[in-house]
Amino acid sequence: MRESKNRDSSDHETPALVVQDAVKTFPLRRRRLRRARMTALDKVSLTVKRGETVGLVGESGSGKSTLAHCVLKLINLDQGKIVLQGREIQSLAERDFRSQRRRLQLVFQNPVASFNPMMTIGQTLFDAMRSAQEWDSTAKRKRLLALLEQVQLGERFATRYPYEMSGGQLQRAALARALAPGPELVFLDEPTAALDMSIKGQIINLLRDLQQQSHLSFIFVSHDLRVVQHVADRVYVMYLGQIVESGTRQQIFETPRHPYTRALLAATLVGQTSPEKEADQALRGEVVQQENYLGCKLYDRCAYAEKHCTVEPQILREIEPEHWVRCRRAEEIIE
Amino acid sequence: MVANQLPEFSAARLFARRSLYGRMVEANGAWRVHLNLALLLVILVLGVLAPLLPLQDPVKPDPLGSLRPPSSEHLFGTDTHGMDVFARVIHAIRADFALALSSVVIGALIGAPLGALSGYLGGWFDNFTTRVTEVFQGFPQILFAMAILAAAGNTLLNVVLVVAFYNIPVYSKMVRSVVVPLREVEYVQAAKVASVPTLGIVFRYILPNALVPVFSQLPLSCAYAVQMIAGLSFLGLGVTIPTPEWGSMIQLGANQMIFGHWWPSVFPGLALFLSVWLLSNVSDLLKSLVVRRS
Amino acid sequence: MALLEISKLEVTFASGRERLNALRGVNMAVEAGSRTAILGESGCGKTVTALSIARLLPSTASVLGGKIVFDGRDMLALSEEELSGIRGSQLCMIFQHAALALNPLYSIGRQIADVFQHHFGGGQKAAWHKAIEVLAATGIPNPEERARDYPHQYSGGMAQRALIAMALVAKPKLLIADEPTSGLDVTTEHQVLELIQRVVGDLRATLLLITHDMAVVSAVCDRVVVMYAGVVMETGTVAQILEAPANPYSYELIKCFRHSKRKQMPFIPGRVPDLREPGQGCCFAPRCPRAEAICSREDPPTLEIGTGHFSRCHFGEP
Repeated sequence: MRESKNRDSSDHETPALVVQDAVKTFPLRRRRLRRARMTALDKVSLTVKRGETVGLVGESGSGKSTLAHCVLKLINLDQGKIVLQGREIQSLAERDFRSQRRRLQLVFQNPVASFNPMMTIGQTLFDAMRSAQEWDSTAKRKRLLALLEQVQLGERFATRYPYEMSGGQLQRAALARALAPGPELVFLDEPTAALDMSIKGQIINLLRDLQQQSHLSFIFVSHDLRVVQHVADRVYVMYLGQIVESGTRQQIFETPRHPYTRALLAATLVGQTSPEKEADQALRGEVVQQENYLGCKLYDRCAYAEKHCTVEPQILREIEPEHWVRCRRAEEIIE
Repeated sequence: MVANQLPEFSAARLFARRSLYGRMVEANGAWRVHLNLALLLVILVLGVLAPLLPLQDPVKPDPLGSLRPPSSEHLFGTDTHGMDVFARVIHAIRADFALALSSVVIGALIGAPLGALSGYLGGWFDNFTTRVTEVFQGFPQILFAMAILAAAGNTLLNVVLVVAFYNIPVYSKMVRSVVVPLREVEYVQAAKVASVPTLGIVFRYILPNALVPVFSQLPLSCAYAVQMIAGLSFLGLGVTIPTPEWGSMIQLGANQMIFGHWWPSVFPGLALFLSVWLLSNVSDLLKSLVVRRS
Repeated sequence: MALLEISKLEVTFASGRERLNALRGVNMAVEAGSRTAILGESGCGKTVTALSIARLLPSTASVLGGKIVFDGRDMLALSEEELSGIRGSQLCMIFQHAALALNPLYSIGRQIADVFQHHFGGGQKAAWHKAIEVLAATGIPNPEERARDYPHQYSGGMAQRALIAMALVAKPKLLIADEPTSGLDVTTEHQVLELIQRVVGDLRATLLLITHDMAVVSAVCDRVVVMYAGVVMETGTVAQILEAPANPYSYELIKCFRHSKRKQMPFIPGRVPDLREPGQGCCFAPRCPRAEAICSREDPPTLEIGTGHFSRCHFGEP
């Protein structure tokens, strides 16, 4: 049922978010006084349609958190465009952007650190609706209580302080806070990473329910493919600041084509796949940032690497409709 | 309670905050809160009502009756000028609490928000404020105080302001160092995402969470303030000699200790000790409001 | 004879006026040569158990009762001196967040060499060579250079390898690994786990792996101890626990790990009981789908479900 809704809306509506060729670098301190820069985002582009959940998968150093911070304008891009519902926002000053802020919200990885320990949940939620000037205090309070119900926390949590609540409860409150100003797009930065396995499901199921009830778009950032499998409609896989593969959930999980995606899947489903397949897809070594290198960034870890891979930058190619891969050997990598 | 039956009532009840007093009792137990607040109240009341109490005249010298040990007539004995130590100790409450406490509190009230703003905003404001406060800290305090009092006049208000001036950089630096790491903490970023304006973030999200070291420092600052005031009064500034003040009493009586006349110094010393300890307890109580157990 | 045997271990933490009952009667036996996992979620007491075995509990903790017998010796009765002889040579421990377990002021090589010299004596040169040798054995490239580096120059995965290298210096009988892969990338996790298995195999040592991840357990271990709220809920082989869990908690937990293509992701509603309160009856009762009246009244007994398969429950099946 969800597939048909997407197909109808995707052609006729402006996408909720479009990121085009985003570039972000950070200065690095080095032993020899050369001024080196680390590339966190290397021409990243992605699109989120209205009402869909996009999974952004990658490990440390992939740039997924940087992307989230840039889209939310907590840090500024060096180059590139961010288009929110048809409006370009990357060059807006903070003052002008403030009115747009409510359309983009964020749920953090660490639920305990994302709440001011000096304020009750009710006060925090109330504050989150600051930008909504069309509602008066009474309306805000009513909305607050309704939101708490919607995330399966009773209204009694409005007077609780964060230290009185568990991680799972706080993360649900964080979801309520993200929804409070009435956003169109919600970024979730590893929302279940800090939670026990036995409660991850509660948040995930809640997200699915929320999405079915509303036209909200979600960007679900995670390194845990097991969880992404349950929520995402489409998935982008990132490695060292680049998108290496993107496609629908089915394409990524059933027919992954990039060696990194395959390695990630094999490692996540450890114990559930055969040992031969694991060995074939395992990555050697660790993530290493290289400067002034133009070839494929996975070269020194890839099981399918060839000399030719270092010569030129790999480009993102569409190997089947909606399925893009950044690898010249993609067609040869079949199960 | 069903939310949709009486929405106004239920919302109001839900959002009513427990009072400061209620929260203190909850965190520390009734005994601790009541005992400390009661003792503090007793001291303050004694200080305020001192002139009305049936005490000996604290400033009437009695050269013949000097250095009398504690007796039924003079509970704490008499000092080198024959003045009743007990009456002086009680009267000194006014000078010490008023001067020390107010100067420290003013210093903290100005210094803490300054440090928070400075730490959060960074940039030229931070640089400017840090340089200015460092200049103030560079002066030797007593000389600085003397200079100001000489120029502006030797009033008690000026004494308070001078001591407050010394405290501003202390609290400013302390709060600033706690605030800098708080800039990146998730709940501050969440407030930014929620469009809370900068001043709101500093005063409601950052400052309350940066207060822990401030509370620990307050009683210590009071003790230093008393010393500074004592030093000034010894020099003839600030509190002038016959006016009772613990610091100056301790200093004047110190010479008599070798001769075995311990009471002119020890009793004001005990009073000072008790006051600082009490202030320290009260600061712990306040801290318990601010520090949340995880 | 089990290499490690823990009986009725009770540990509390005191903070201010409150007491937190971290372990409330833990019983477990680890056979020599086995790879046993302690599986549990946050707050279940698995790390406290590991620290208790190595006698590394902080000063706020007190052991109220129970026994820990390692290689025939009563660990709780040993003096600090005897303990320092055992730790590092017979019993080694690897921690979460390896970089934090290393002294930032000394080079990795120096730290490993120090461990070697402490247990085996000898000169600095010999110790340094040994350090390079074990670093190479854990697959760290350019060990001569890396031995001179400091912990902050190591990535998470490499720091964990360095800790494992330290364990290789002596030939421990028991290697305790406390969440060795937390904070590491999934691809690195894979490599570190393989290394641990190889090292344990080469040393012919026993492995006690503390983890919250069932996938790690099934990949590495042969026996599992499932803990919840300070007690052991179920013990058995990995096959027994995965295929036929007898305890409702294990059963529900494994459901969460078993991902099916079903739409809803399974979870256990409710929250872990407050360890500050003395509980009555079974600690899992409030969240247990199988609970009956007796569960909240009486402490459940430990039932023998099969050979070496025990469950702490009033009932024999979930």
